[in-house]
Amino acid sequence: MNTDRIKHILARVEKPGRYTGGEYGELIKDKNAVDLRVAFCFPDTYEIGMSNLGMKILRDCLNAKDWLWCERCFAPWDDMEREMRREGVPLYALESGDDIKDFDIAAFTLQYELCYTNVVNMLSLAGIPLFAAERDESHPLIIAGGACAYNPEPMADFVDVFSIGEGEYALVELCKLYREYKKAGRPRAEFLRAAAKIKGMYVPSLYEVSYGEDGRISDFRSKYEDVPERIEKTFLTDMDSAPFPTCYEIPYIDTVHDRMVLEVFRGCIRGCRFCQAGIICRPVREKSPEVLDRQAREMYKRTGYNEISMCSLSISDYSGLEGLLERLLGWTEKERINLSLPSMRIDSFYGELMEKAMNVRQSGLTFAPEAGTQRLRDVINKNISEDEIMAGCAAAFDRGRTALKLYFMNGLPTETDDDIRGIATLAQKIVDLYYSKKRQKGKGVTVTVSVSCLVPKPFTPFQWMGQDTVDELKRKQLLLKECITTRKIVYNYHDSEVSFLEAVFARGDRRLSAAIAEAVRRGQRFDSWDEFFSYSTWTQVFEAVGIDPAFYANRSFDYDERLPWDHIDCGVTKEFLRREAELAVAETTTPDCRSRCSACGLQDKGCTLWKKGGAN
Amino acid sequence: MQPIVKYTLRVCWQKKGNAKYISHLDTQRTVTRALVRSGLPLYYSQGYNPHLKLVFALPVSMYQEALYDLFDIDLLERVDPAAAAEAINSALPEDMTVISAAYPVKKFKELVFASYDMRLDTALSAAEVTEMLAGEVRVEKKSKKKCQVVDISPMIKSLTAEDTEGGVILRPVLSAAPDAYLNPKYLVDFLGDKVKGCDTVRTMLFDGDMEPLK
Ligand code: SF4
Ligand code: SF4
Repeated sequence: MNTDRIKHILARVEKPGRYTGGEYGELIKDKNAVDLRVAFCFPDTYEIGMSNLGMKILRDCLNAKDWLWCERCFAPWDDMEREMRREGVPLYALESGDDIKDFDIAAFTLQYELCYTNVVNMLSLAGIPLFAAERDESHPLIIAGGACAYNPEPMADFVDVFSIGEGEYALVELCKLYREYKKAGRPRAEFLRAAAKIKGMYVPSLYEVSYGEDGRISDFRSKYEDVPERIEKTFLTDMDSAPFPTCYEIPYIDTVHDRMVLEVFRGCIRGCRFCQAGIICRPVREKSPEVLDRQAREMYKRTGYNEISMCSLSISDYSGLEGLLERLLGWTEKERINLSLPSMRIDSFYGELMEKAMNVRQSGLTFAPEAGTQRLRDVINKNISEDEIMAGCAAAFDRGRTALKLYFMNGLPTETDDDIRGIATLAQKIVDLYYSKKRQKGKGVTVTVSVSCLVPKPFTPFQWMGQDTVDELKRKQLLLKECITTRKIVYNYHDSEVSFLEAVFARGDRRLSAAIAEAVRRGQRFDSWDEFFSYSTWTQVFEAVGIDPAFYANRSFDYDERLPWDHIDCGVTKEFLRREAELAVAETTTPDCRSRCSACGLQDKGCTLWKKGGAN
Repeated sequence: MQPIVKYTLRVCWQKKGNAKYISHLDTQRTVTRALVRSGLPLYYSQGYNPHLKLVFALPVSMYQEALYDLFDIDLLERVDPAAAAEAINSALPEDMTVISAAYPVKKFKELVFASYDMRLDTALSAAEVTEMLAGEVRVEKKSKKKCQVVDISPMIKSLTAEDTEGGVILRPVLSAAPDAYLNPKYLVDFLGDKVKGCDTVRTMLFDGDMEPLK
């Protein structure tokens, strides 16, 4: 892009390389030769957005069309925003440098609830009216997708169309339709009505909500007969033929994941009851090792990266893992490429191959037992026993690892103080295990215990459950602190106030749009960043708009209550989730999808495991 | 084991446009990846953490462009320099361009001077700028450890200035020896508030005889 108009600004901000584009691999099209211009907006910094695989995949799908040019846009850091506002420079796209307000479509990806203020702030910085109701065909169409779109309601007032599920094909469909309506010069309202008929597309303005006196939703219906009552998610069925970008911009500046990312499969065979991804990404769909190997080779040739990170929900459950590692190691070692695997299941096969595949420089390992006692692990359906945990740690120590990181959660349903103490006991046992073994002289062990707070998420068995209050979470955090008596255990925990806000938006309805708008008006943004999160500001915001945040975060919803996201169909049935919720309280586990199908609702909707599992 | 034979290739390249917003560390990483993509037979150091042998003559500071910059890269084979230049160039981002490649004539430590084009956004005239820079030029110089006021005039070999629309073009030749590098930004610092902005482009690197460093 031409940076002349912001030259003096760039001289004053931190990391100007975030704002100039021009990286190797950047895609420039002739803007006069395309019918549709899309700005893919990531509501966080360049460094985070450029590390996001979903954004790469979707941009690639859109740019495959010669009539469309999809560019990038990220949230400017506050120093840049200040300068832009002062100098009257509106939000622009990195490739052309053109203003977002002149684009046909601005597409936002919603990865976490705390980015909502950034989305709205970016609209404001772009000079686009914030509310969908204030916009018409002279403004860009604002669309959004991503994991948080499964409960789109808190953002309902700002977004014209939500894309529910995997957008590879659906997004292209939507763009095609927009192009048609644009060419014909038809009004926005007509387009929206037509868009609502595309599978996976949700147009919130076409639905009416009423509330009872107790504040709960009493009715939710589409305003027109031809607008579906339920919106079914879209997803790919064959991953081997799925579009996958092997060529993309190589950032100049250091980003969060500055490496090749290989998506191995989608979905997860396990059903941890707190985990939203495990439900909404069902069913499991794997890529074959041959395809992955070919994609990795191509990526390497085109990027020059020296690290491949394999990405998937629970990588050790990949049925072709051994074959894949063998193939990759066959050439990556020679090319000095490191392989890295994300957090492993502790009981997973920890063989020679795996050890070789792990980044040699990374001396730590991470495991996620999530709860400190067997009882509570059964509640959350983390099907792993203490023996398995200890065996996994022993294997790691035997191979010379001296640092382990364990992830846990506080605020799980039925959690007692004994469960909290159990975390400390488990960590201590692991420390003791290390010292009971023969080990390298002088090398101590570090067990890091990292504890987050449960955020009950839509489309999980815990969706009905109220979150522990901030005070209760704080009490539990302190209790655990007191139980840890050795410096060999490093304890850190999440800010419970942040988790509270996440829960408000995760389980919220569209009345929260007012709170988001008010928060942005008061300068709130980058809520997921410690330096910007302000609990007191948010408390004032909720007061100002007359919303009780505890109504959303801490209240337990009734099983027969109309949930704010009930019109979204993620494939898994509400009956299944309820059954799982009841099994949780009964401390009963559910086997994984490979061992046995639990009839979650996807049996005849694209799941290939259920037949195999059912035979067992 | 036979020692590995290495061939050092010297690449002459430019860093222009938006690449001026990229720090040296990020530039190094970008060039490293371009070299990997170029498919050249790269030499890697042996040992635990193998890396390329890539050395830059004199990296320009952030916000400065370079029309003449050099880096040396060690290869395992003697390749055709023109073909290598082409391969590296096509693997670099648009604002980084390879002009040529050759086997080095001189060592980087023979670098003594560098010349610059500095477009000053100022109401001062060329004559005034020359006048100001004629005597002692005392500026605050910061290093990692300390901050001291020094007279940098001995490090200014020569300079000319020319009036243009919207300001002055200053063309200094400054000391650039490994132990006596003068960043051109100190001239702007010295001129003070009267200069509102400055676009700096390094135009050439010289040896002690004012011959282009090759
Ligand atoms: S293993 Fe459990 S926590 Fe991990 S993705 Fe699968 S369901 Fe979620
Ligand atoms: S249909 Fe059965 S096997 Fe398939 S995802 Fe659902 S529970 Fe698992």
